[in-house]
Amino acid sequence: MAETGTYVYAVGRHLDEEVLSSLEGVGGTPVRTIGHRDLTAVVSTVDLEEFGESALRENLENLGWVEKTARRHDEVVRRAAAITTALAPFRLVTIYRSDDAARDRIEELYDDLVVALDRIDRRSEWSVKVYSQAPSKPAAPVTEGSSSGVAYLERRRAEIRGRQAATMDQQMLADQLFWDLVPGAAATRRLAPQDQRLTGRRETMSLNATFLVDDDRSTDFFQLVDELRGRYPSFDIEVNGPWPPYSFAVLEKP
Amino acid sequence: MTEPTISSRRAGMDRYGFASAAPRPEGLADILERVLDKGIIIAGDIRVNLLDIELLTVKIRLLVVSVDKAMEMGIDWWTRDPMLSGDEQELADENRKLRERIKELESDSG
Repeated sequence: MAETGTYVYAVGRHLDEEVLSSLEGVGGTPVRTIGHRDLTAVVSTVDLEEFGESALRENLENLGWVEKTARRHDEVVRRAAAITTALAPFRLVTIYRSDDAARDRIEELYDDLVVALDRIDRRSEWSVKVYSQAPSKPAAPVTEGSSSGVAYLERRRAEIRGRQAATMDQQMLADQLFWDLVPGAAATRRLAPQDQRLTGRRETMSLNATFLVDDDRSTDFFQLVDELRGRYPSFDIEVNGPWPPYSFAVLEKP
Repeated sequence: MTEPTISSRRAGMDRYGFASAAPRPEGLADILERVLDKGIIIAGDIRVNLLDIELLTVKIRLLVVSVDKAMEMGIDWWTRDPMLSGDEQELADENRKLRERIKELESDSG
């Protein structure tokens, strides 16, 4: 490796380097840790030929590279999160010139990182996606003279209006479901519903939300979800997790 | 009633699903949504504005669950997208495919 950088995956407390050092990082080099005060940064050394500015600009346009890197990043974060109660993941491709430069940045943000870690301590993220059955087609009204152009247009308009109303109803219902879940979580965020091409499902995603749930209250959270499945039969509710608290590891001020 | 896809029933060390070697079910979109948009966002020394990356800001949101799965499903339009594959393939070809796909979808939901 000619020029190298220090890639930071996450910062946490009480991380055991030995457990992590068997892991391979994003560039294929082993994962290490850097200690700073009571915090530990999970890092690995990367080759700037692959992770330098111009290389990244190119690599990030390549889906294969992005997928490989994102999955590896996520796996390292998960492994680290699994051995501590408080881990704040960093965004993909956060890279410093050296370990010292990374350490300086952590010192600079120390107080904010501690606040972020306190917020997610002993908590995990759960993703909740809600799918609506495609609104059923309203029965075509049988009208006299339905062969005429005017009647056809009227029928089309009614159909469209009906579909729009059904979609709006589903959206309002999904919002209501979201608020019903809120009491089960310590914090929550809504993400943009994913496109059907993304989900590979025919149903529309009406809600894409994520919840920060106390680890010792996760059973209650699932119970709440099950209750809501009964209360909202027109929805398919998909729960996925636990995720390391990506969506809730945020700094108050950037 | 479906069980959530959880690994949380296992406690402690492996709460993120690492007791087994089974591949994790999370789709690429779910991962990208988190590793790109969320987490501690602070400037590194290597500065790449992710918002400048077309793939990440626009296209990724439309991509299918995972590349492999998409390929399995026969969805591979991005491999022909010069923006995504780096190859200079004619957009016309891609447009034609997309139009066909739309027609297909429309007749499906017809």
